[in-house]
Amino acid sequence: MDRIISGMLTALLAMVFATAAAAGALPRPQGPTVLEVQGAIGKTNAEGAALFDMEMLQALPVARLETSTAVTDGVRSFEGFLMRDLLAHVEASGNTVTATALNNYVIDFDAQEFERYDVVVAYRMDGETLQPSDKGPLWIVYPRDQHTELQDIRYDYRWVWQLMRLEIR
Amino acid sequence: MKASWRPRLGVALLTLTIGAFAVLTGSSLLRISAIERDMRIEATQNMLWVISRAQVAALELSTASIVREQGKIDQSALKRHHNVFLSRLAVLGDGPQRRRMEDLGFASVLDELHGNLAEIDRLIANFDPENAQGLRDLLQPYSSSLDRASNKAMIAEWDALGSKLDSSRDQLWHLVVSMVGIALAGAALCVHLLLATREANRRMRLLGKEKAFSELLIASSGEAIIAVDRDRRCTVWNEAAERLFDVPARKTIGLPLSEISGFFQIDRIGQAIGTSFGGQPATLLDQPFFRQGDDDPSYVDLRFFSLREGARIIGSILLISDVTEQRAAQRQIADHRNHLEQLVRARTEELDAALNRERATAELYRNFGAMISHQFRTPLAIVDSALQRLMRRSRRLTPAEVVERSERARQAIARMTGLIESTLDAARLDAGQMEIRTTTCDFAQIAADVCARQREQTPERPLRLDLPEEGPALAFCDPVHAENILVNLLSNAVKYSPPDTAVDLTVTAEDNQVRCAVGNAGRIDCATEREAIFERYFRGSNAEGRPGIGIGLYMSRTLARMQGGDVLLDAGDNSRITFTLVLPRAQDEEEAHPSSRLQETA
Repeated sequence: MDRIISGMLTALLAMVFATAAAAGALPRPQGPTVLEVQGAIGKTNAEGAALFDMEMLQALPVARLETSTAVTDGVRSFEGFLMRDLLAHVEASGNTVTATALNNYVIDFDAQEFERYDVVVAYRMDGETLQPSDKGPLWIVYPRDQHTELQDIRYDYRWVWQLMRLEIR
Repeated sequence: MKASWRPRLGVALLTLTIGAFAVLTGSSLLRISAIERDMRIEATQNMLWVISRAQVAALELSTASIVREQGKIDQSALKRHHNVFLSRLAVLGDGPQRRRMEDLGFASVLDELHGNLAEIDRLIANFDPENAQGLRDLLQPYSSSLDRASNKAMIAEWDALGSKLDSSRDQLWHLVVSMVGIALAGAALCVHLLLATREANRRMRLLGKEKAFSELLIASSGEAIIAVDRDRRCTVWNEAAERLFDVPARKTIGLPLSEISGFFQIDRIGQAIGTSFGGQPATLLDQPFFRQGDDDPSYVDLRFFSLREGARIIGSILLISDVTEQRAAQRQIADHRNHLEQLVRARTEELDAALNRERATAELYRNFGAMISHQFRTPLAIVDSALQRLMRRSRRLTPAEVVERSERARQAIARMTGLIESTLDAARLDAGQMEIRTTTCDFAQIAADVCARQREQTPERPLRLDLPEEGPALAFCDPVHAENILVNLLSNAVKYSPPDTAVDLTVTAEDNQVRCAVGNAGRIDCATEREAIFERYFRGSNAEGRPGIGIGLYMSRTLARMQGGDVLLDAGDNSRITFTLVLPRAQDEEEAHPSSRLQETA
């Protein structure tokens, strides 16, 4: 009996999400918020912002990338989602993306860059979830080994870790 | 000497310049790549930032603990600062950053600080305002250590930057020097290239001129010039060849020779081309050549030469010259020469004949003189002695004696008169005044008559007459002259043979001849005498003391020849001399004349 009810509830919830999505709104995050997207976006689930918990982010198409980094040794294997998929998901319409880290480290990105390169927002490295006490929960990773022009100090500073907020302008 | 080292020096200089150019360019490239490598800045070189951020995180965590102590922020905010602090320390401990810290001499400090992290973790997790000061005390060494580390990192980074700038300046300075060298070498090469191009252009122009001149030579040559490749395909066909073969050049180039003209299908011409392919020149002279529409052949001389490119034979050149006119001219000259030779020969013969005639005439007169002095002196002496006796003994002589001596003188005079008559006859014969009236007559009859008369004159000499058994021997001749000849031959035989020997006379009729041989004993040993016996005024060695002027045989032979016959001598070894009168035989018996005419003239 309980199972039937819970099944019905799940179905109902799914219907609500589907309706909300169709109406240009995002479902509200169920877990703790790990990322906040603000600014020129078409989809929101809060006051002028789209809030994401880890479950929502992991629902995005998974992107995998193997590359070395400027601050670690050896080639690392990253797992996450493409920045452009996220931007498309929230129907972002600006040219500049400003990322803010936990320590208020702020970097401006040209939105074109995410079209040109498969920039990944990683939540796992070498199969392990990125910890908030290290580079987690989210780390912007560039395909550094795939494009030599990305092996540049001007790209190295864009590897924002402990990513907290994105603002689209 | 000068000419031999100059080009070598030029090549050496050029090689040196190119070598210098390459070396300078290579070293410049190396330096540029070194600069490029140096210019890359690693994130680890930005240690000052990494360290200071860690220091800031430590300070902020410390500050946050105070604010938390005052209850102005909640636990999650404190945890957030803690996470940032941990994250910054983790970055410092990661591979590249860790190594830089080791270089700066802060590895042990870092390890020491890491030892406190667990305690800090515990204090934050179970935050209690009473322990807040303890937390801050634990955090304090991070700030001070990182402060010193940042100080050192700054100095190290600036030192590194300074030395890198020094090295880059150094590299750039070398690069500038190299560039100047490259520019100089490049300029030298450009100048060389310009000169070489100008020289090449000059040579090209010269070559072009020479080519044009060669083409002009080939085109204006009177000789046909044809070149073929190894497949015997035509590559050159000049205007003279066009005229000779009546084929325009555009229809020949690239075609096999044998297809252009049948003339080239002739075996020996093909072989000659083969010979020239073998490296040997070949020549064919006076080859007949039929132009189109001409029945008479022209004549051409062909010469074949190998066409070489270096040591390789790439074809053959044919030079064909039309020698028809020269040939004709040569033939004309040869004909003319032959004609002249004939003229000279004829003239020489005439001159020889004239000379012989002159010699014969001289001989004639010499013989005539000798004969006169001899034959005329004897009768004159006889007449003279008879007259002297008559004068000296005129009184004592009887009339009979006078008559007898006068008679002897008269005989001598008569003989002289006979001699003069004979001489005159010979002169008449020479002057062509002797008349010949040939007719058919019975020569056997004439021979019989002459024999009979001779027997009357010299009854003491045996004389044999042998006539043909079948009857008359018809000859076509002048009977008077024939008889005279026979009389002469017979009297000679009697006169010049020993008195007791026999004289024989044989008449025979053969196919187309009537022959009458008169033989007597004796021989003529001397060959010259046999030759000269028919000469005028010639007297043989046995004629001494016998009257005669040496004209009988001459006249006999001349008269016989005038009648189409001859008188032949056979002075064989068998001690007999035979003179044979040969006369043409008459075929028609009806026209034979009786011997009556003979008697008339006798």
